[in-house]
Amino acid sequence: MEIRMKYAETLFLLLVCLVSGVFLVISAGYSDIARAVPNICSVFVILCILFRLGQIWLGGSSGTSAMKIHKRAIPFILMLTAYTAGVFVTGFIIASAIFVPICMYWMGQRKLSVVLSVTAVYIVLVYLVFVTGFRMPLPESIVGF
Amino acid sequence: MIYEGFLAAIHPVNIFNALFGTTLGIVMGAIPGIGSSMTMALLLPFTFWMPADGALILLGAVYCGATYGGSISAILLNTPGTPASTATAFDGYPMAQQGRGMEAIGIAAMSSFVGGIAGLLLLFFLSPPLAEISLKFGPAELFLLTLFTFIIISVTVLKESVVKGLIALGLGLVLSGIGYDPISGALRFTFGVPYLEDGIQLVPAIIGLFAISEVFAFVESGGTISNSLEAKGGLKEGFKQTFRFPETLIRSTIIGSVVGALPGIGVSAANLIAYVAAKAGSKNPALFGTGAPEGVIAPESSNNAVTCTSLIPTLTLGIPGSSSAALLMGALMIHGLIPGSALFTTYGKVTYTFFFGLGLSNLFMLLVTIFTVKYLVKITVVDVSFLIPIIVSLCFIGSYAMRNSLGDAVVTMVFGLLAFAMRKLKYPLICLLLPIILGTMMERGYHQSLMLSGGSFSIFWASPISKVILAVTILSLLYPLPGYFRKAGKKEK
Repeated sequence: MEIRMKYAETLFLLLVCLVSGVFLVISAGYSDIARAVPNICSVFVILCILFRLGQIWLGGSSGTSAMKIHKRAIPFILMLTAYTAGVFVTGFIIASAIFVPICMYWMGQRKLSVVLSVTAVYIVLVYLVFVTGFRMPLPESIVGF
Repeated sequence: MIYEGFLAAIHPVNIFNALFGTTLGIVMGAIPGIGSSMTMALLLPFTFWMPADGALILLGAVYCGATYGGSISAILLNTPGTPASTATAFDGYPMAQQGRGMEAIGIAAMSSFVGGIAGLLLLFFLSPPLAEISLKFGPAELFLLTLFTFIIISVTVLKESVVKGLIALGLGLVLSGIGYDPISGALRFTFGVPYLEDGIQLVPAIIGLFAISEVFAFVESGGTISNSLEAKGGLKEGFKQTFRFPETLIRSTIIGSVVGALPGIGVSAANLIAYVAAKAGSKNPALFGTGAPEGVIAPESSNNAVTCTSLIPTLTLGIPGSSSAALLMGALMIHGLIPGSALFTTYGKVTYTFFFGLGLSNLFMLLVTIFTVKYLVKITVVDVSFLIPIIVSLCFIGSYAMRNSLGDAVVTMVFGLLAFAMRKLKYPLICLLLPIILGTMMERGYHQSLMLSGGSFSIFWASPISKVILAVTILSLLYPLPGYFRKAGKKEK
């Protein structure tokens, strides 16, 4: 997937500008001390963004270059999100036992015996080192396992 | 007393403590997010039954080992194991991609050793005077120091666009405002989310910015990390390379030592400052980011110098310079030792045993590297399809484990996505990270200075230290101007 660099960068800058703008507006309700530095920073960011937008659209700084996003990037973002949610729901061990082999298979490892062995060794190692060895709690599920 | 300390340090039990602590530190440091303070916190209960010198050597060795261990994953996976090795990845990883991973680890190990020993010598001989100097750094000086750091990063790091760096810097500063205001204690920008009350946490942010974003790069590239299956340049070459850049080595060690002695700045910033200073002072700044040995020497010598000198305010004044130093202070107090002059007189034997133990730990760092490096570098020729899910999963553990908070894991993922976009758009991640490390300190310094002076800005140039920092800051701003004018002149012609 390709996006013209100037559009991609403009979108990113507008998002950053929005965040800074929201912070600037919200901080109006804070005390002088609490809002002084955030205000300076927000205004500074907005000014820099305006300057950069000028460079992009008037000076042609981004040119005609394109930002390439590999076809695997978007599905991977979804997998990461699902994994994060999975840890909340099923706990770390179960979510990892599902995520690790699926991710390996999706990345092109077709030997199921290898994929499953690596997953099993990894999960056991994590459990032994962190849970048994260091008594470090790993994320548990919302139902407590 | 020093001799007695030496004899106690070379007792077989203490040698074992130093070796075990260093090895454990290296392993835990290499796992993103775990780092020294968590490993030390996990070990602390096991040290209660140990004699004071053994406990301190064990914890100190973990501290030194983990600081170095973070560089191994930074070099081989572009995933800094600890904030201390963030800058090591900038040049270490390109070296690994070129098949020079072993050489890069050699440079990191030797630079860490030199930095660690130099910091230790300072700790040994100059603790009291350095502690006095560090006390002269008031809020105004600390504010100026952070400002100087931001400016020098904006001026020297950014080749393509200073504006992009300034935007990233500003975004980092804005985000560092989330949570409690450091002066009034008012809650800011939390949007009613309790997790945000403590602000953006450094470790999850770093893991997201560098580790998760690198995982995205692996997903896109596939294959193996190293483009060359043939190893070029061995460990010995790395050791030799370290001494081919004596200026960088000395400068970075000094930076690390000074930053370490100042409470509050810490190892996370020291390696970035040393990297930037090395680039600014290099004869070949264009090579930075492409696998320049200086880019590994600078952060590694500085971060291990910090580990030792951060103990100066801890041991002499009872002011811990970092979270790991605070844990060591806790260990001291558990064993009935109170920081202050008594540590160098009444309890001198324990203190000097600890110092020699730290020296041993630095030596073991080199030995462990020599014996394990050929196995470690094999990771660069493993197919990334195996590495991706394991790195993601370890990042999850690392970000969660510090505070047992799933919110930290979510922050890691969010920062990972932000870094993915920024890398695509060629925005420098270092400029976003630095304000998250130093933003609160800068804000606190700014307000405290104005409160002390009754609102007068003259406090920022009142003391000799402030004047020096201001002068250096102004010079850093003016330094690139002749170059810009020359370029502009050439364009006009």
